[in-house]
Amino acid sequence: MKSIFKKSIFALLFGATLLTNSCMNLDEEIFSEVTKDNYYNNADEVIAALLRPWGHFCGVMQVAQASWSCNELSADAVAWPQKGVHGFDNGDWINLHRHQWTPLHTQIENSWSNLYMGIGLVNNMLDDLESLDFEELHMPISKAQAIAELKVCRAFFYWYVMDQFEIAPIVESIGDINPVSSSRAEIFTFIEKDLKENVPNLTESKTDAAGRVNKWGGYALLSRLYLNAEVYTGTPRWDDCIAACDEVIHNGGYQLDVNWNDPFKVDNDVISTENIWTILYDEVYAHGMGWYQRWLHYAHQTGWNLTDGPWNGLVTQPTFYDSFADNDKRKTEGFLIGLQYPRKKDANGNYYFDTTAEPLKGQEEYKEQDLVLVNYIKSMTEGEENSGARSIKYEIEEGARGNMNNDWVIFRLSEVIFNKAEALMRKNGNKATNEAVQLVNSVRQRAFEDSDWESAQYTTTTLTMDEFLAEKGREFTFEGIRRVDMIRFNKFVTTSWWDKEASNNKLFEIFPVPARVLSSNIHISPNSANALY
Amino acid sequence: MVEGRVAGLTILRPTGDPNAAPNIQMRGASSLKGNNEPLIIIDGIPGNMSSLNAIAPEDIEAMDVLKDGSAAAIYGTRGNNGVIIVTTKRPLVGVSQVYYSGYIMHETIAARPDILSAEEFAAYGRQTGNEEKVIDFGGREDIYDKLLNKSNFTHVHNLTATGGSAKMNYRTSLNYRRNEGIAMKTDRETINGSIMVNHRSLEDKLLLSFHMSNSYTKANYLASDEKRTGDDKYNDYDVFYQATRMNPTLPIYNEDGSYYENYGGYEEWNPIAKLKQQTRTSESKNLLNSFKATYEVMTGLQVSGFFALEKNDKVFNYYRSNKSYSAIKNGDGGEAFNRYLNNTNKTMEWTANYNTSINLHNLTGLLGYSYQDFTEEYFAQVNNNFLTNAFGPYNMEGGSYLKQGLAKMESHKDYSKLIAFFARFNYNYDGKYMASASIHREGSTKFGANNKWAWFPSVSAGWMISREEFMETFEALDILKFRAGYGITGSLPNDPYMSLVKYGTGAGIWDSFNNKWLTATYGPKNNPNPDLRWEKNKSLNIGFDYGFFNNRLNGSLDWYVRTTKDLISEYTAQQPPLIHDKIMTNVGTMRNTGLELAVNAEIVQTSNFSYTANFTFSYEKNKLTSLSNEMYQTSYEDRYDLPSLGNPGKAFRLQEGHPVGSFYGYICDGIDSEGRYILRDLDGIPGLNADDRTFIGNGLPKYKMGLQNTFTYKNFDFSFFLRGMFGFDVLNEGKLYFETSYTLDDLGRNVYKYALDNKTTESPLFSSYFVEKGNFLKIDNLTLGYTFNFQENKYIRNFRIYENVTNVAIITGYSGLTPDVNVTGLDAGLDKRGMYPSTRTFTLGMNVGF
Repeated sequence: MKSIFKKSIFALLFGATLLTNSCMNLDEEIFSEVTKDNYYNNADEVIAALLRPWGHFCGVMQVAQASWSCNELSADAVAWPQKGVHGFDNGDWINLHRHQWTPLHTQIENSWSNLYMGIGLVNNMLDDLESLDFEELHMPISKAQAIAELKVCRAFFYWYVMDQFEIAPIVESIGDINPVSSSRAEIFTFIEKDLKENVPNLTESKTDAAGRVNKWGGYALLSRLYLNAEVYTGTPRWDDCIAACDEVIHNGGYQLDVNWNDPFKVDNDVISTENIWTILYDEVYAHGMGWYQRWLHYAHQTGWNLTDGPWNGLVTQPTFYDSFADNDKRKTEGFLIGLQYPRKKDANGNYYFDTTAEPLKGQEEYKEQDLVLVNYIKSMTEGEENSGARSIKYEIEEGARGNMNNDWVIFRLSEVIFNKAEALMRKNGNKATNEAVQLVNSVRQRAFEDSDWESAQYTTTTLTMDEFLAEKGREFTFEGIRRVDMIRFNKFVTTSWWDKEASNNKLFEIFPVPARVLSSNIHISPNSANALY
Repeated sequence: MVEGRVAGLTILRPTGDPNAAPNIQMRGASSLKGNNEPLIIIDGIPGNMSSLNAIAPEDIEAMDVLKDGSAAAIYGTRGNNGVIIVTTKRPLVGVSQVYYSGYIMHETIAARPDILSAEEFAAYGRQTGNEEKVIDFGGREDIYDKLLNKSNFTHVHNLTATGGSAKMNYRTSLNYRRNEGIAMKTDRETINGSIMVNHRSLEDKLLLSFHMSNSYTKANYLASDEKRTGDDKYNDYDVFYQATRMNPTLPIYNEDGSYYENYGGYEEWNPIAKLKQQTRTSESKNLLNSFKATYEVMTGLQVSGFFALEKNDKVFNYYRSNKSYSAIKNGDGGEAFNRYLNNTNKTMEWTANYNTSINLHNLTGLLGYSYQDFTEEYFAQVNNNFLTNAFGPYNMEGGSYLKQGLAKMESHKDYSKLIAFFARFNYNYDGKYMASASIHREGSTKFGANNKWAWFPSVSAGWMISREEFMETFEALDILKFRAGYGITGSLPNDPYMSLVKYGTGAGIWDSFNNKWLTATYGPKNNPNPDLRWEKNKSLNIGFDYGFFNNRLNGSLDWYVRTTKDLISEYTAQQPPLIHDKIMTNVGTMRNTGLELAVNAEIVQTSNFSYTANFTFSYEKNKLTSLSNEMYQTSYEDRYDLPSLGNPGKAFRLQEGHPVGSFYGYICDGIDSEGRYILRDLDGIPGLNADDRTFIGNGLPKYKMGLQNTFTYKNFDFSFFLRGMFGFDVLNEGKLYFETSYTLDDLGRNVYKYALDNKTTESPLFSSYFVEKGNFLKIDNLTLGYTFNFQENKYIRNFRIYENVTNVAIITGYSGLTPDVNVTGLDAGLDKRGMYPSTRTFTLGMNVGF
């Protein structure tokens, strides 16, 4: 009896453990993560998710991110040459400059990836939104407006995709596996439709949607879309472009800033009256504005009392720097050149260069010698630490951290004005009209002293199409659209500049679909540029 | 311990760093994202390498190694990479004994980089008239030398007491070790106590075993900016790299005694200052406790319950002085960092074991259930800008970054479970014919909802040929056993939540709804993969055990094939429509094959003299057979960024059809008269680009061997160990950066002495010029001992003293610091430029039994 009793005890214990749920249950227990199932409980959580695509937008649209790099480093204004042992970076920048990229190029891969990640995040949010009741959650905006903002954000990503890759898939849900590609014209139609349907639902306020997009930003995007319609679809849309520009110019309530660089100041969110669509950055809360780290030299860290060390990367191409007139304030105030002195602040809070102090010193080829930035650079592979004029277009405050406070400009009134002027000129058989001249001069004027303006202003004879392109380049230096403009003016593959020979091959006007994209989905089509490889 | 002594088991301790864990691998890497480490079972408690921290080496009785799939099938999927069974010393029944063993040890440098001295450097600058770049700052000290603790001293003591009766016996031990490394301010101190009690009752049918082993460790790590520890990839020996690369004429001190720092240059910080101005310390506790109850229900049937708790916690503190180079350069006023890590692993196992014999047939059956859960939690905080260094890391509040909104903190918790049901049958007939079969049904929380559970079967058979009648004529042959086994085991990834779509924090942004900054937005962090499942490892093992001449010559020969299917790795996802460009999923296959030979020979055996040799040899071949299927294609992945200067690119390529650890770069046909690399153009297009790169070597040794020689003469014993690895290449990182005179002439930094003869003048570019044959033969572990004769003594049972030298000599054609580098895992064969110096140890020790 006793032994049977003992046997039963053990059997029971054995069985009991098996029946206990936790001993068989293999569901994950998560502590440091949330999933869709335990999220979206209140308005704050919804807002944080609603802002996620915008957070991504903040991270991929600005200086030195892949999409910007593809648009600017392949053109005639800025470059990242190899300086001694530094900056070879697998040949990435050299290949962009000389149009020697392949479908394996890292920046091209990253641009595609960044853009489609943004599209995916918007699609995911639109999907999550369907089951959410905005009234019940007491959301501060209407569902229609939330959807409109997301769709306009997505339209911007699609514009970039269409502009850089020509043929690509249009997806509206993350479940659309194995998508096929659409033609450039089809993507254009999709973007146009989404914008026309949703821009009217955006707010007109300049502050309510700060960090996202308002109606005027939507129209500004439409104006850029229509301006390039001939390139994308073969059919010009100048009148639609002018109509979109007029919406902003007449109804937006924006005004050109007094100084040429007010849109780029540290506190541009407060003082600028011409910025329409910007990305809000902050050194603590919203990182990503790494302007000075790309442009300045190592010695500027101590010389300008900056918190983080610069990387000595980007330079202005010599031919481009020379294209500015010497009395153009955008040249004298916007670039660093020559002997570098420490920068200090005077009693009134203004910056000045202390020419009585020891000049800044080099650290590599000019170790321990005075740092003199020179415009002449031998070639993309033979740069030195002091090569090139450096852009200080975005104001660099004292003590600035690598993540600066300045907001990044996506659209400003000046671009809308230029778009309208160009459309007018195009309609006029590629010749300036009085209105076009007036528009361009209204922006250009603040770049010159009153005494110089007489000779610097444009007339209907001096404002040729070539001059228009040059002036657009000078006004919108390094803002991310140089390649787009050069293609529209048919200069991107037909002209030479600095270390770049003209290729005269139209296939270089688009970037090839990245190899890894083609190999991960056999239904995606290669585009015209892929044929080169 | 068992380095080189078990064919197919590779244990390497590539540096003399007392805080670096050894690299351990059995029969080749079989996983890309999971663990390639074997399962370590300590007295029945499953664990890994760090569980060994809880016990003292002197407490180890035996280490049995199970290599093939069928043997490891006993342990289920945890035994996927092989099993090392560590058994600590048992109490001896009926005998009360006390043992003491201890030793003292000192380390010296075996190899260090041969760079220009300060005088040679300054002379070179004068000779070449290049004093503008090759600057003479006036210092004449040997900076590398100043990093060394030449008076390092290590001592280890162990005291064990054991006793009891058949009914109740115990073993208890106390261990203390203090290990000082060859680098200054690097040491490790551990106290360990353990107790084991066995208790029989209920007519000897019930056996209760209690076991507790606890240790407490304090460590000082080599100064560096790395804030993580515990894994090889976090071992950062940058101060040695700096001492090698910097201008040797830079003074260490200013005239006023403060550290000389050169802020103008590119990363010209003073390594001695860094060593003295930065502290990295940790305190940890490792507890390994278990309880087992076994009850004999009836003859032949035993049931047992086993419960174990492993708990590790560690406090890590880091402080960088507000006078340090980075503090002044970045203006961050010094940095303090604390991190607390807490690990709890629980195990529970129930088994019922039945054995019976009918005539010559013996049968054993086992049924069981096991449950394990793993919790890991950590939190960390960092703050900067301290007024005074007096607090070190112990007054976190004192840093002004906290008020400025710039301090950081984080916390995290992970949890996973592993559950198994298993059954095993063994049959043997008269000890001549053996067969066994087992099946496991295992599940883990780490996989997708549809794939948490999987079956893992195995079978094996054995034939003791030597016991057959027809073998009795071979008198010299004592044992000849044939074994064959086939089994399937599985492998787990490290990340416990890969199959879920997690909503995590994204970039911060302005929240205009609430007019404030939103510190984090929320969105999906990864692509969904509900089909994530076990990696499966199928292995076939065929082998012989043999013994000749009264077993004076014995050993084994094994041949194996291991195929891993459904390798988990990161693939390019379809983007669009997915959000992220990568997805973790099961796709690839990898294959390891090999041959292992073990020969043990008592070559000479006389009354006064004996010579025993133990020889092991293994041949290993690895191939990544596939990285693609219809849905996911990736034919290759590049790994391991070579560090800057410039951007030399990645060193390895994982590609279908090639083994892991393959170097990929340009082919160099030599140096031309102007000191430039002659790089071969492979694609016919002028200029250097990605298509000119190809496979230029492999870091996995094809052959490994070990030969242990033991001589005894009367009371003396002498032994030495020969260890070698052949058929592999080593990437000489030091050569890449220190052999080119470009570094000296253009950048004013130090180089190897022979750089002045070779005259390579280009900046670092990765090519076959830097990949050298790594074959070597090392004489290691030379020991001379004497055992005193105390047979008549009442108090002392035995007494032995010994002296031991490791890393005695190495025979190799490799020109770098040492070819004996880490050859386990995916990044094999790297002789990193920032290496801990190669050391030699001298030990004097004694064992006494009372």
